[in-house]
Amino acid sequence: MSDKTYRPIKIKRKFYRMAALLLSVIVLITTLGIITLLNVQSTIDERYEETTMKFNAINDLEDNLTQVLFRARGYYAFQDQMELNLLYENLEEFRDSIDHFQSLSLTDEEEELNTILSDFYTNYTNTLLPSAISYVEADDYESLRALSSGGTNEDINRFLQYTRGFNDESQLERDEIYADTLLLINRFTTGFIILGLVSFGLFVFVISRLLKEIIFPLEMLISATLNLKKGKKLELKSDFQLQELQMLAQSFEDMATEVQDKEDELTAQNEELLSQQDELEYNQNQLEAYVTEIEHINKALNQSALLCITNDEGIIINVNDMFCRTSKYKEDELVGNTTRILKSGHQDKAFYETMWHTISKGKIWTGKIRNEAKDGSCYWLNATIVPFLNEKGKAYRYILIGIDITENKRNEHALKELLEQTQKAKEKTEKYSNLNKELTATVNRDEFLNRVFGYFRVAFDFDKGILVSPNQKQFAEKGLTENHARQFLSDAYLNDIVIRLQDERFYIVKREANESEIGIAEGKVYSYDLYASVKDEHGNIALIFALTRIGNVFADEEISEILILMGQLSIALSRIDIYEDVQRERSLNESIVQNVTEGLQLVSLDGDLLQANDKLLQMIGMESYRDNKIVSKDIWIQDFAKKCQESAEIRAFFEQAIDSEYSDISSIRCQLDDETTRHLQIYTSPVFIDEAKTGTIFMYRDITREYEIDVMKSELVSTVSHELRTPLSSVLGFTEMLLMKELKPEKQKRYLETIFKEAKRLTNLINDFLDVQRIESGKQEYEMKEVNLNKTIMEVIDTFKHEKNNPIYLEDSASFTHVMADRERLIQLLTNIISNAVKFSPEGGKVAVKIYNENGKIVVSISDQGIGIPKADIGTIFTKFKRVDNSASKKIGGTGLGLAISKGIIEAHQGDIWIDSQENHGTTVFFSLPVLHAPTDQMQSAKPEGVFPESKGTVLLIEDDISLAMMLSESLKFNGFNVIHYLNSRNVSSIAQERTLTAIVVDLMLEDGMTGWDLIEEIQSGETTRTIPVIVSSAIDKKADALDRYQIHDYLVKPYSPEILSEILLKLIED
Amino acid sequence: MKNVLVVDDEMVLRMLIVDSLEDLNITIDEAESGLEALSMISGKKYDVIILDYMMPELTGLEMLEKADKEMLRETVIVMLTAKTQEKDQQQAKSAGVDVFMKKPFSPMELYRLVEDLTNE
Repeated sequence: MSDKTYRPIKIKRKFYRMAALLLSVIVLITTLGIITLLNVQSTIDERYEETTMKFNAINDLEDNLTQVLFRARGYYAFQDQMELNLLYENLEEFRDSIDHFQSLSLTDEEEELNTILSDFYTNYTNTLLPSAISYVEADDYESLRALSSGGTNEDINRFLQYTRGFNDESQLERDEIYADTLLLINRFTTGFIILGLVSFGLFVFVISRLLKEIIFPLEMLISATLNLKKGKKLELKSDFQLQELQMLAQSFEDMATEVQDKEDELTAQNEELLSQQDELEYNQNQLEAYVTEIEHINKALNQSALLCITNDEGIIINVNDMFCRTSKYKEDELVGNTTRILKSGHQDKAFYETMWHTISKGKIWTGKIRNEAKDGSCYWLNATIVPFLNEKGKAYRYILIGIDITENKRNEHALKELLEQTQKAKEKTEKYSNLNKELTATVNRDEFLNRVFGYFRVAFDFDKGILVSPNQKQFAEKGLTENHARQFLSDAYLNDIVIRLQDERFYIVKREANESEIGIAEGKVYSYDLYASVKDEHGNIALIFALTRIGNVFADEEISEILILMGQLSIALSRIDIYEDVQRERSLNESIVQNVTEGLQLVSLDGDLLQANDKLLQMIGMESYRDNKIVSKDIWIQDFAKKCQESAEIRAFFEQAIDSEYSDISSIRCQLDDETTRHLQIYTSPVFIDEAKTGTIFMYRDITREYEIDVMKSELVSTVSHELRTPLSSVLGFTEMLLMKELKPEKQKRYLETIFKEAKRLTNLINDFLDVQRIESGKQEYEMKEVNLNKTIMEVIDTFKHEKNNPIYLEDSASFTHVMADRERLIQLLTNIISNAVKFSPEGGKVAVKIYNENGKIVVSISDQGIGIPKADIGTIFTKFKRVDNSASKKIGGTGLGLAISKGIIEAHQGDIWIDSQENHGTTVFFSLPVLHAPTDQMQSAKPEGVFPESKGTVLLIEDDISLAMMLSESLKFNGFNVIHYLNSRNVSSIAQERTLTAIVVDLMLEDGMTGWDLIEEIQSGETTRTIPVIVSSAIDKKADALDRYQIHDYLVKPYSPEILSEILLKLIED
Repeated sequence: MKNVLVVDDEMVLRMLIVDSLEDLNITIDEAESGLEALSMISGKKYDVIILDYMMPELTGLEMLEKADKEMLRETVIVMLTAKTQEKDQQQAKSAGVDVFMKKPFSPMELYRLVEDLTNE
């Protein structure tokens, strides 16, 4: 408060300070401005003065100079003395001007000019003028002119020039000064305007501060005073910035408050008196009502609640009947005792402390209390303790109002138990549902065991355990060594358990724990082994579950839980069984479908391709379908039909089969033109499930082979029938002719011959046909014996002796000719090949049969000079009814079975048969057979053509006695000769021309028309054959005759030893 | 005189046919293949052609198809065949065959047939 007394001084000082500051700022600025202005102005004045003075000085100089010169000329012209005086006067003025100019501040140039002018003056005055005057006086104008045109004029002119320049310059200078002055004036004006503005701003600021800090608070105080007067509440914003005002407001406020308070107090006291009077009246009434009410309440309380009143020390003063009834104490037992008798020590200490703390402070406490009745039973009270306070605020009585909630408590407890049970049940359900999850998670038995066991490990507490599938020998375990677990699987081990479990659902073995089980435990420990089983629907044990607990009994509850689980496992197992069965069946079906040789295709009701086995995709070349799940009807039918020759029919067939329940056509044949042509037979059948059609099955059979066989068969039948009908026609036709017509004997014979030939052909045909059948079906029996092949060949050749047009010879260069063979079949084979060779030979074409050894085999080649076989046909020549189709071959006829039969025979003899042929040059048929009695290496050198390297030569042997021919041949071959056999003499000369022969051995008595003599004649008349030595071998001794007529080397008379011939020939080659 | 052409690849059968027809007042030409027959037909009009069906290179029917139809307009074609099925006969008829004779045939029957066909 004391501070506030100084405040008036402060407010005054503040405003003084502000005003002084303002004033001094303005004065300062103004003074500075004026000084600056004066300063600048004086500078400008000086400059102006200087310039003007210089200007005047120079102008004076100029004027004077001009005047001087003017006067000088005037004098020169008129020789007027007055002029001369004036000239001197002017010169004087000029002198003054120079001096005046000199006194000014001058630039260098001006300085120089000045010097020049001074010099000029001096020169003019002292020299020029006197001489000029003298010239004038002497009237010597020539000299005067020369003088005036002297150098002085230049300086004058320069000065005049400068003067003019200076005039211009000084004009500029003056303009500049004028401009500077203007600028100065402008600046000064601007400065004063700014000063004015600043002064105005400051003035406004001061005024506003005045308003804000003094006028407004004053107004506020005035309005507050007015409000106070009106009796309104005093509202003062006390945040005045000025402490004085603040103080004023505060004291005003204090005063106002005090006035108001006093007023209120008086009013209140008055009102209170009035109301107290009312209240007293009211209270009286109220009390009366209360008394009645309290009586009611008391009654009600006595009926429904327990009441107990204690004093401040807790001694019971009063209890109601209800209290007595509940606590089982009599009233007199309770009254006078402390509340301890009620034994409410059920809750903890803090509970009671809180209670005492509450009520001793005079507040009401409510809570649940458990008391013990006289008989020891408990009862629960929902209690309210109300303290009665004396005038000091201290409790002197406590009333306990209690409601018996024992029943509620009991219910609450029951409910809690129920909840716990529910929770347990829920946990159990979760456990089962987890198990179910495990059980249904897999259909793999092994995994199933592991999952189930894994579940057990989590759900039950055990130390060791194993879950065994005795049939599958699978297990899952915990705490067992691998060996022990395996041992468990053995029948011996399992059997006892199985037998017990057949009758009991489970059993438990209690035993002393073994050392490893005891571990660190001390004393006796028991282990409990529990065995339980899972049975399948047939009652057989499917799973055995064995658990061991060390020192921990299995509770009944656990056992029953395990048994329930076992039941669930049984169901799950049978599910796996079913799955496995289905799977097995499925894979069986699948493998049947995939492995059948038929293509199978299942299409939906709409005809979309659902499934096709690999065989089908491969068959119809649609491997790309394999990756597609479903191929739409249009696509697969389109794809298939495209490949089919009968695409329209195929389309119709598929459409009908898919659309209708029962198709009219159950199968169709088609030809597929892919890389190779194939024939398919497609069968269709609708698929019904529960009497409703669900799709269609198509089965594709590749009948290409059957088709080909079919075609071949029908070709065969037609060929055979043709082949048979032709000779039959001849036989029947000519017989009919013989019977019906009168014929000449020659014609009759010719007909009979034809009939015979055709009948024979028919027989051969039938025989060949039967042979082929027999050989092909493997029913041909072979009687293997040792056969001398060259002799057999000779015999076969012998059967062709009536074939007069085609000579057949045997060229024998084989050392080993014995083979294991069926002689009859061999003859058939040779006959076939040789007759073919003869048939296909042109007239006079030779048929050469050659035999030689090669690689432990004997090779026989039969060559003709016939039409040959086109290269393309060589590969198929051995198939049935194959005859090369050309006109020549048709002319010859034949069954086309010969080579097929030959091949069959040769293969039965472990031999080979092949053909070499050149069209129009001839064909050679080769066959080889394993040879007897011959080591392979001895025959290496054998060659098919020509003479052996070590061969001593080739001997042509013409002998129709095969036995003799063979004997001679053996001997000759033994001695190193090749032998060419001829059975008769026809065409011998031609071979004699072709080959280099050591000698020709000829029999004289040949069976056919030509004799040995004729042959000798022919040979010895030939150009090339004349020199070949001829040896005659004959039974008739006509040696002398022969030697007479021909050049005979030797003449042997049969019988003779074959050695003799060899000796003769050896001797012959030696010579 | 009527002209008859015998076409058969079997020499023996040609001989049988020719011999069986020798009493008729006709001229008989022989061809041993379809090709030979074609060239003969193109040069001469035949009243009767006795034709074997089964021949190499060209069958009887193929030969007929290739033959000059104009030259065959008035010719009676007698076909000797082992093929006697209805289907084959139908095919042969459409190719121009008039008479079928089944192999083996009777020379006397052929004689009477040709006699009828050549009788004016």
